[in-house]
Amino acid sequence: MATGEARAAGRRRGVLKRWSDDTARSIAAASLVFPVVSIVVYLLARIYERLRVGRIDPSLIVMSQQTDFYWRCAIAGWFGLSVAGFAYLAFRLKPKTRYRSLHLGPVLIVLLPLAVWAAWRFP
Amino acid sequence: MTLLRILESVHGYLAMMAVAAVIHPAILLRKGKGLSRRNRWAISFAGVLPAVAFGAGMLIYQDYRVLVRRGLFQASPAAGFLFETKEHLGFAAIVLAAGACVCALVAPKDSSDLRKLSALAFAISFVLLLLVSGMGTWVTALHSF
Repeated sequence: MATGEARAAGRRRGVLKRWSDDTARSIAAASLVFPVVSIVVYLLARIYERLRVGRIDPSLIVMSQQTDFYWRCAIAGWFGLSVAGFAYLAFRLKPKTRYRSLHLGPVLIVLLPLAVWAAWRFP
Repeated sequence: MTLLRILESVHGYLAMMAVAAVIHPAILLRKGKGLSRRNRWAISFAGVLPAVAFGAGMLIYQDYRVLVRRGLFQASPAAGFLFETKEHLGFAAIVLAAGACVCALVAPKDSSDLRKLSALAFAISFVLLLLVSGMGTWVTALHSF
């Protein structure tokens, strides 16, 4: 929760400040951890499925009775949210420096070709 | 025109709108400046719209599996696989847009670095959504409900 001083500063600016800057910064950084982890978990789940089956056969996709996609999305999203929660707690311990050490920018840049390659290679 | 075709068109239009909506914050946030009220609305819209388009796709997904997928693979296995690829990239695009949206909205005024990261995530989401929309349009033109 915001301190009284932060709330007063927020009121002066015409907005109600709900969180302190450190809390907001930690939530913002953790919210970027969520997509990174979700995508990595989704990729790993898909690669595992493909390696377990051993080959890519259209008849296996057409005849599949389960909707694996829903489960994959749900599991990846759940993992992403959980890790983002832990990341938030970690950032709160040292809010100004911790998220910088994660180098989220390069990670995001690497993630784009990796996601496209994996989606193409393991359809 | 059947209800499924209408829902499919709605899904397609929403996806196209999401592509257009997501590029806006990628440009807006690239310098990491603070946000006005109008900018906040635009960013919220860009975060939510891909998820709405994804949800619309989920509504018709079961029917697609039963009614379309077999015919699609018979018409062209490459197009069938392309649709599977589109699903994976779609998921990546919506989680990126959602995360970037929360980051941009919550980041305090002095955190321009976080807003720049958010712009990067929106830009990547835009590229992915562009690919997804292109693939979806091509596959739909080939075989549909």
